[in-house]
Amino acid sequence: MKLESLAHEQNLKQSFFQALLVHGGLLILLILAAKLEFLPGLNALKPLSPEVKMLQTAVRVDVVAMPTQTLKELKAQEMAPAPEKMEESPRAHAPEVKVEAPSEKEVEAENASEFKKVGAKKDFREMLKNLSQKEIKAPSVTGKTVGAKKGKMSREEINSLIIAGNKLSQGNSLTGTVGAADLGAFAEYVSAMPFRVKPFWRLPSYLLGRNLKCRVRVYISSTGELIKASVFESSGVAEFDERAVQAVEAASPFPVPDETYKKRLTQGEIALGFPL
Amino acid sequence: MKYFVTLIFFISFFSFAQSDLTVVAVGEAELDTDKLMVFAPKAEGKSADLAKEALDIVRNDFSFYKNSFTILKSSDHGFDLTPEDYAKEKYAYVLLTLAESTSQGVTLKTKIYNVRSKTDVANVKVDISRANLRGSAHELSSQIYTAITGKTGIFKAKIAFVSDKGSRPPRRYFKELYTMDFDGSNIKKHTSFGGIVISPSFNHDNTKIVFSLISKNKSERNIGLYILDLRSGDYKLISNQKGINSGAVFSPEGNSLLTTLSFSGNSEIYRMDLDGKNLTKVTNNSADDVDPSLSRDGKKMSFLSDRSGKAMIYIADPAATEKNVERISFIGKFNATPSFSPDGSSIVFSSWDRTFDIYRIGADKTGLFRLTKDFGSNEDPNYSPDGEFIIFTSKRVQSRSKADQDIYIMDKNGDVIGGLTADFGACTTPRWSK
Repeated sequence: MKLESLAHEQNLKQSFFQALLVHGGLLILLILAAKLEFLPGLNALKPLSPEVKMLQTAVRVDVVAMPTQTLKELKAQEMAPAPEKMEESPRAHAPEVKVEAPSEKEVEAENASEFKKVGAKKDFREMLKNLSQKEIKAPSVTGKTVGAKKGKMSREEINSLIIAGNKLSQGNSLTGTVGAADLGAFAEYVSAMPFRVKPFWRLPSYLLGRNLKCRVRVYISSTGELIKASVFESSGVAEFDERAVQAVEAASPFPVPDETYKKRLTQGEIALGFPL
Repeated sequence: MKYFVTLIFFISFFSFAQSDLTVVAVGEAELDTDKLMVFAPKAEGKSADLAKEALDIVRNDFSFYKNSFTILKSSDHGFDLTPEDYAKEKYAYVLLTLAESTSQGVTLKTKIYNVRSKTDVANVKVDISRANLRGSAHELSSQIYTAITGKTGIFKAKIAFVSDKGSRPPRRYFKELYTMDFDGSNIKKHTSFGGIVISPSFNHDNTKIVFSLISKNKSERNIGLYILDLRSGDYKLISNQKGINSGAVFSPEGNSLLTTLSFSGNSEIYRMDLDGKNLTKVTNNSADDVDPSLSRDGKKMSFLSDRSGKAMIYIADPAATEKNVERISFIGKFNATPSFSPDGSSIVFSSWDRTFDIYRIGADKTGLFRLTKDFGSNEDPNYSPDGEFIIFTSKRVQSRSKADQDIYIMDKNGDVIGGLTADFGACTTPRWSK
């Protein structure tokens, strides 16, 4: 009886270790498989987990006046190649953020950027003067009209606001306070990519308006060259996917990435959504 | 044991998602045009010229759809070329035409070949006669366009408009009703009242036009509503209530009208039968409500109202009085003449900004875009039946006493294709057939 239970215990121990070994091996295999990017089938398997960040470059903005620029002119602007210096592009595209009830934090950010740019060229006194001119009282939520701030804005500023009236603002919230700039240099780099790819993103009539969408994963070298663009989520229509990949390929080379995030680019941490 | 396996699966899934991924939207694609090669007709003898002229009209017709097609021309008939030759030239579609002489003119047999899929799309056959060259060529264009895109083109559509051609203001001032083809040719005069015709509109099968008339008789101040039968040329006064009876449009079934009447003291939109009876109010507000325009299914009506204090665009369900009224525009010094796109997704209108210009807004209030600028004073936009084009009038001041007003056509995104009228008086209120 005693012997029997001893043998039983040994048997249990043995099978426990066997099981542990097998499962441990399985675990290692799975982790390894996940790292293998070159297997195309595995990429498709990858689910969209909460880790995937969606970076939107544009949101709706309340219109403050009838648009002064035609749809054609706006499209032409959108098609114009993005400036080489990536840091400047998000600012250039978000002048209207100032109209949209800017929070104190945003005004601060605005002033800070002013500080940096002006500081190099002008003396301290000039800069202070600039800062004091820039000062904007944090308006109430309802204070959205241009008229309320007229006293503190130059004619040109007002004009630029009106021009910006029917443009889309940077950021992904209605207040426009969360812009790509707040997310760091990497996000700024990424958010400028669509401007480069868009001019090459063209579809024939039979593929337009079919509500297709795909996502293309992009690998960029430390010199800005495209290493690889692969379909990450397929639309189900081969030609659509192909044209999306071609658009990315045609947009290469991209600007030289910063030291701080170039590894993230070579690892392919960016996916471009066609159209979203 | 089971839990252990699940645990492993969970761990493996987390490791899948380990590397961060940032997704950024590129946005909607631009349209890439298809190369459409229209080869010369293979013809002999006297029919060759007529066939050539017909195909020139077809090329011109397709050039209106310049967002979809790039039209190419060849002096060769193309029958000797192989599909590989077409592919090498990156053609999307090829038209091969055989012309056969008939007693009236020529029969064109056109083969439409899809280069990418290497298949015949269709074979179409149209008789071309000298007397009806343009009409029959438009018919050929229409059949080819439908075969390729599956949609109905605008080639057979007509445009009704009003012109003061021949009048000598201020003593002899009149405007008469005209129609023309979509490309501005084949202008026909339909009325000779000597008064001022305003706001024409086609019915569902394009056999009737409803319009209003300010009589030349000075004692008769009312604006009466008339229906013209295009087949017989007969017209009939259907509503002559006190005040204005104008801006009428037919319902999609063609059995009733939506029109503005002002007999109650302020302008309201009413539904009425074709004999002017059986009035029901569609709008009911102390402000003026004018300019009804319907989506193709008739379920949505856009109109202009100053109920907010300014002339703004609204939409409503015309099935009942003040049903589902929704304000669409919130800005603009003075908005005018809204016109619904056939699919009911957007509205084009003109708005004052030093001059009148054309704007477009989504029926969901989003996407306000300017379409014209620095192009004279632009008014009265109207969507084509396929929703791809907008016709409008543009007025340019030439001198202190002279200003031209002509009808222009542009695509729905404001790319002006060209003028449709020239030296034909001041042309106003262009309206597409259905």
